[in-house]
Amino acid sequence: MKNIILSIVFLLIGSVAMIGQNDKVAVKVEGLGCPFCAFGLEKKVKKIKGIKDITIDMETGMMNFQIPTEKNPGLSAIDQTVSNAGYTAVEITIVKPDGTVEEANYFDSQPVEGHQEAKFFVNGKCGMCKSRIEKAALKVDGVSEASWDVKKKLLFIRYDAGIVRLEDIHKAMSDAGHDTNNSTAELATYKALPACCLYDRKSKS
Amino acid sequence: MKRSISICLLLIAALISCKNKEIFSYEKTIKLDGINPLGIAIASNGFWISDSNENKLYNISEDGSILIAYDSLDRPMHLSSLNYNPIVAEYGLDSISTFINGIKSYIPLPSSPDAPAGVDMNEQSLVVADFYNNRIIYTDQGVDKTFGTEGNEDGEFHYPTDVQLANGKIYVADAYNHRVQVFDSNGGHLQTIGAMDHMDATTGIHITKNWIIATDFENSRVLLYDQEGKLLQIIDQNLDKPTDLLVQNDQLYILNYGNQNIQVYKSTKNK
Repeated sequence: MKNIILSIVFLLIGSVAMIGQNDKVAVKVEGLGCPFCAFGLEKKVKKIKGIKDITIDMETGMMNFQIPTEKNPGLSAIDQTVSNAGYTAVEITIVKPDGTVEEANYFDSQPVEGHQEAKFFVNGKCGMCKSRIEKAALKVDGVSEASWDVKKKLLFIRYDAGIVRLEDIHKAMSDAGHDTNNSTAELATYKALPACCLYDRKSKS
Repeated sequence: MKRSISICLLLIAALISCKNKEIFSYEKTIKLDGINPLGIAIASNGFWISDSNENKLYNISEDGSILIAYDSLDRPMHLSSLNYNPIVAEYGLDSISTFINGIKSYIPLPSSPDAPAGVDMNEQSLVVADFYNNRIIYTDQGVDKTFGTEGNEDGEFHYPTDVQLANGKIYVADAYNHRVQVFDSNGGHLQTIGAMDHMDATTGIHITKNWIIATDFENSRVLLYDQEGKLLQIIDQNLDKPTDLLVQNDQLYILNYGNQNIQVYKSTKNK
């Protein structure tokens, strides 16, 4: 009984100690080329409640900010927040006040021999589009490799045809805002892309 | 034989004629060590250059040497000058600031912009390219004449990034409609320029009595038009993500955001 009470007390003390302390978050994004888009998206993330001291380095693609520990929604939610602001996170690292680290790398999948290969047109414009398209493809269960050619607008993928259908990968592209010949993005999703990513929807493969 | 000579002479004459159509020709490169240049304006002793990456405003000499550096800015974008004092669109602060004798102050606006990307001012008027609001904040002798909404029709904008008062008109770099638009002093649409010239992000403009000059950011080009909108010249050598430009003393200064320098072109034509 005494041990239980002591454990609860220590837990409470630990929790109280964390209040008023901040997690340091580092997000690596790729494809930043246009300062108007990059710093505009910085402004959007700044408006999120609780986030402070946000900076973005155009050359390294690193976005850093702090968030109170008790308000930190976690890796997945931060990834979604960054995505909603128009960026594509490649890696996210959270350093807690006590030094523990949480991290996620969204591009560390390994191509699997024997997986089916496909190549198809995905509309987009720039380096930021490339990150978004490739990440959206890799997020689909069964896709082991994704590489989008900016100039040719062709996505190369390897995928397990026993787990995922090609049409589902097309749908993942349009859900991310990028038209394919088989799947068209909703207008609202397309318009929510950063200004520099607004590709010409009339161009097809 | 006579016929061959005549044809040769005609060809030579045609070549010379083509070369003479070039209004600006390359003169030199000014290196800007450590500066990622985005906006340029005239200073008494050279230029004002904004660096949005590093949140700085520089006064540089004509050879690129840094004379003054101000660092109390939040994503300074395009700028202008009045009596050689810089006027800066602070994108991150939603404000227009100015520095006079080294002291910073803010210029009051009739409404708050959301990411001001460009500004121009004279003794009577002020215009601001209000990026996320897709409009031009405009005051004329103290009267608020703000205009514009989001869209791609005439008079509508898709993320305007630069603006200039010139020739009694308002010129707007309508960046992500990939064109320049011209308005009268009441905000009434007059002209659309460059829409068919395949620009990709028309981020910066400079206007003279006879020319409208625009940066084509993603294509790394500069396009020169007459005031009727006729395309006169395309400059695409030595450019890497040009963001802004100006003409002074028959020289065209083009900021290369992509490789930290200014490309200088010289003209012998009327500006």
